[in-house]
Amino acid sequence: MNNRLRVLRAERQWSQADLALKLDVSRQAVNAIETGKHDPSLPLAFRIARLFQLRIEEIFDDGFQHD
Amino acid sequence: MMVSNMTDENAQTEAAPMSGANLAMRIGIATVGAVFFSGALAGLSGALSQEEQIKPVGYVIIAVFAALTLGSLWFAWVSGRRYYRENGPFTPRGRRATISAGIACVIGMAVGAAMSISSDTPSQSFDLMDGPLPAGIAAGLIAVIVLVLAPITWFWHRNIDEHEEQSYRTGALVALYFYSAAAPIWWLGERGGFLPAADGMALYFATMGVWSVVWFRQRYL
Repeated sequence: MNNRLRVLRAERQWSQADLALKLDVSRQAVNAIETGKHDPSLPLAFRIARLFQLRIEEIFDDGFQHD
Repeated sequence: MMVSNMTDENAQTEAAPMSGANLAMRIGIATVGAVFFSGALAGLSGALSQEEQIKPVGYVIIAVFAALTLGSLWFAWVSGRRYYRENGPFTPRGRRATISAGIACVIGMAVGAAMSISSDTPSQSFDLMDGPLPAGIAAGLIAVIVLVLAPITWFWHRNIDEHEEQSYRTGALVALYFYSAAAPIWWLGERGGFLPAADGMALYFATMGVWSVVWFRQRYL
């Protein structure tokens, strides 16, 4: 699943370790989400959305095209 | 809004901390070194102790192997410290998971070194690697698994994040499929007369190996 996590993180000048600390996950987990290798669980997706004060669909894109 | 999978320049220039793959390679080299050098040290010491008078060069060689064993352990320690420093700061949960995995790793290295030493010591009446064991030694090793490693594993599972857990589960699933195919294949091959007798411990280690490789790939590569 595509996402804007790395861009959002860079805008705030956070390292992966900084973001991992804020989300209570490992740096490897942040890296795996950023590179699309791991889709976060719904609770973690909500934590990410709350942290960036955005809606989940503003961060993650499942590729679904609206008519 | 356009959502893309990353193109920001600033995010790309971040200095890369030591990777888990790099750490695993270093720990692996250190473990092989510690097990090999401690085994050689035990074998050499046993052989020299049977001589009437040990030549100075014998002491030098023993000292070299002792230094190489300690050097291997030091290399593992330094690598672990560097990984911890470069990949931090850790969350309290992450710190607990990392420390518990580190303790399990140290116990594994110690048991491996003990097995190597017992295997290479001529005066030893038993070999930890294979064959019969004194009941006390066997019970002690079982106690380490039940009373030390099992609680550490439970504690580790309580503190890992969802990515680690998913990696571990994927590894477990692939390992189960591997075992459920390998065991009957070996059993049938043995009955067909073209494979040696099935070895439960070989299957166990192969299954653990598959589990570890898949977990590692999912987690770090």
